[in-house]
Amino acid sequence: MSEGPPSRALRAAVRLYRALLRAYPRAFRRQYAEQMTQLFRDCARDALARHGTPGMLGWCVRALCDLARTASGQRLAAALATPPRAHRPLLGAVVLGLVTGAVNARSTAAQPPMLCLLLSTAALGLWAPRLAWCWALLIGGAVPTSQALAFALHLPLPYPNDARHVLLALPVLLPALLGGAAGAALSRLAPRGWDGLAHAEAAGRAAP
Amino acid sequence: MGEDAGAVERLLPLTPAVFHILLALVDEDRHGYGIVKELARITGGAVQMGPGTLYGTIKRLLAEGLIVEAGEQPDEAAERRRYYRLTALGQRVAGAEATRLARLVRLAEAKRMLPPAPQALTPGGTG
Repeated sequence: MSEGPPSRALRAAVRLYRALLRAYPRAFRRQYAEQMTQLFRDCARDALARHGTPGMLGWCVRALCDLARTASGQRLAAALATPPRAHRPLLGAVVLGLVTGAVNARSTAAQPPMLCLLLSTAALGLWAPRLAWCWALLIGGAVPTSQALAFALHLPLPYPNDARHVLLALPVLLPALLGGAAGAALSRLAPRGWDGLAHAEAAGRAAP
Repeated sequence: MGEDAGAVERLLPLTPAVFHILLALVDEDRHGYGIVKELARITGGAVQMGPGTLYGTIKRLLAEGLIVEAGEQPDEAAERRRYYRLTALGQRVAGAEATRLARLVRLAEAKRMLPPAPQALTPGGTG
């Protein structure tokens, strides 16, 4: 068996596997990424020695399927292990999104829902700036979603609502993202410890 | 003693991945690749564990106190490997699971669900 191509294939496979380990949560990667890469390389080398390149490729496919399955499990376990307090911004985003959608469904003018949108996203961005983009998408997405639901269910709206207007509501995500960014920017100006969650996030970042 | 038996019972039944890893660590400390090789040897290649499954299970076993890290040592190629060791609790849990499985096999034999027992398998997995 020639040394060059199989070794190159093995090295490429290991590099790819190492890159894909980013699918696992950071804490898990910190603990096990090196060992997992070693194991992947050793088993790939064994498969290459026994069954050649097809054998190595078969091992790589099995390892990637194993990665896809277990990485999602580890992510879910990490999310469930997060203290309930950390889920409050998500709950807040859902509630504010529902409020924004309801305001949009009842208003004949654009200003009230837009004001609701900007204030909501800025407030969430200020409260939990690390995921300001996530809150903005949740709250901003409520406007086209509420219109789409009303259109699909033939619910009466104070303004004409058709498929075209549902699509035209999508750009509302842009001011939502701007609102979230503004809130996140303001949070950097806040003194440490003024808000429990902001302080806890900063402490969490400092902890190993 | 009762409290200890309760701690063992609470962990049963074990998943196949957990039981296989505990089996691999019964006779000596091993690193991840060593565990995979030992499993392939004793099962005749029937069990092939991916890195995600192996280390996800190891993480769980460490949290439950069934195994501990036994330090890092260089292997033949001078590459550092992290070894794992079965704890006393892990020994008891593995033994309890083996007893449970043996009881199920006896029940299946009594119901004639299993063919006549072949000659005893060696750890190499051959008949």
